[in-house]
Amino acid sequence: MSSEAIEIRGLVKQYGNIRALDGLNLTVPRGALAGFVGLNGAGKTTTLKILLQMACADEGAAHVFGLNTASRIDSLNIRRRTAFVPERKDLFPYMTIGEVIAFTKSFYPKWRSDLEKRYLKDFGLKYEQKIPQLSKGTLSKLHLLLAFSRGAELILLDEPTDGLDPLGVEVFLQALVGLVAEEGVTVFFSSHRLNEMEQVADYLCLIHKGRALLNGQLDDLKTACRRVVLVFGGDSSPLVREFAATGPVKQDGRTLTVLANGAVASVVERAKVFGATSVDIQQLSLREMFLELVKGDAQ
Amino acid sequence: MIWRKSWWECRARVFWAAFAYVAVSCMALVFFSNPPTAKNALATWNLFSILLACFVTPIITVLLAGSGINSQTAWGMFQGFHASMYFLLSMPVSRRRALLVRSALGAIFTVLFVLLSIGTVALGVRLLGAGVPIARVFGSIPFMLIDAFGFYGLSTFLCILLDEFWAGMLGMGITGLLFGMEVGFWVLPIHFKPAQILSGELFLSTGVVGWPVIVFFLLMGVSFLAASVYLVERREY
Repeated sequence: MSSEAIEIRGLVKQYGNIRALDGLNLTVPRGALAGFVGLNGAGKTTTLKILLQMACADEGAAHVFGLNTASRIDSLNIRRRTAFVPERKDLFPYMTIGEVIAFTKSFYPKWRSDLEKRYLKDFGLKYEQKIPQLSKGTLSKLHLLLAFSRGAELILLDEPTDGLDPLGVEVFLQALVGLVAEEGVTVFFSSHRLNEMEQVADYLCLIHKGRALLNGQLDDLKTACRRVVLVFGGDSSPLVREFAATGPVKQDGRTLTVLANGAVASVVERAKVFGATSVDIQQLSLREMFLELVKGDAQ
Repeated sequence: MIWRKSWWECRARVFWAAFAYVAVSCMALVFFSNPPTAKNALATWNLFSILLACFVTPIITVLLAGSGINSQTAWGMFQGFHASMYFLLSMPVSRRRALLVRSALGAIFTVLFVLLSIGTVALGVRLLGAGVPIARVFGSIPFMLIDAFGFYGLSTFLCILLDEFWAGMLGMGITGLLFGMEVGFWVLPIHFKPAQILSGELFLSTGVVGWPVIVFFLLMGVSFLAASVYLVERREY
């Protein structure tokens, strides 16, 4: 049995002239609450679609619970164990909430009626409400109910909080933490709300231009990825090129700001050798980390 | 449950097909209400059966094939598929099964409406005493079903390939072309008049079975359905 819930190796996907995925490598361990972040068009939705065989990779391989997503039989088994909340959240327009629930329930023998009732109440949903009459936020809530109640081992969420009010977001975040802690579910969710993601995620995949820039335990990544502010007595220009290999570097007079991704100690050591008069190591929030890395990659 | 979902998607279309059926029934009654001579009645039957084979049946199949496995498509130019497809495709049901269940349900209703249409014609003939042998009316059933099967395959394929608006437009265009062939816009030999063969008229009046057309329509149904499954299974969403 694979220890990874998701394992992606060298995934390439081309849409015409656009290279959506460019050799993506990432893993998500079982039981992780993994955030999947990236700019619009970074390749997040394409990755999720490939995991569910809605799209096919041109190169590389993706496995869920050790099952090959490119195989039709494996894909059916993956979908039996997985719940998905898509980015576009329309549902069957001729059904009521009760009918959508009954329809979904019929495919999942491990359906959790207790969770269904809990989220109906928490999200303020009623069985008799008709789908076309639901707002965008209410549709998101219904999708979350359908995903959480399936008894799935893996939950894939694409912008799940889209349209949710603050209370809905709070219920969603609590539900995610509860599912991971109590049920051992693996969650892999993409979102642009980095502050909320930082509250709950313990694992992170940062994707940019179809490649993973970061992939690992969030705490480890935050420890490894620090902003180092160095002040020099003299000219520090020679160090700029050297540190550029570590991460983005910004020079402002005698001050050099380096994003040391996994190389804090060596940056500090080299700076001291070069005569740094002040060294300040700063911890970054997820949002700062994301912006620094993505901007740095763009430069 | 996938059957029930298919029924939910199909039910409005069944209503419109029923409307087409009622229209056919009314036409049948008008056609057969006052035939002055047996010869005229036969001519009326011929015209009516051609109308049934190359106009009403294709319309019913276009209606019932609907939007394939898609729940709904917006009417308009290339609106694409309804986003509920993502939800459906994330569920543990194969695309082939989803399409075949949906097609099977549409096909059942197509057969039902073809039989009802012919039954109504037979009843009209019987009640009104029109001079058409009743065996001739029922003899057209196998031909009409082959006709419906060919068109159903084509309609399903068009609904998978195009959005609903264009599938409907193209389906109607093909129907118009066929109808034009039959009513003599183009001078064609008898073996190239599919509706005369598929309505059973040729067989019942001359004893000739138009095998090429029958085989063509059978192949048309099988190949378009197979192509639809192939397309649905390989398509990216």
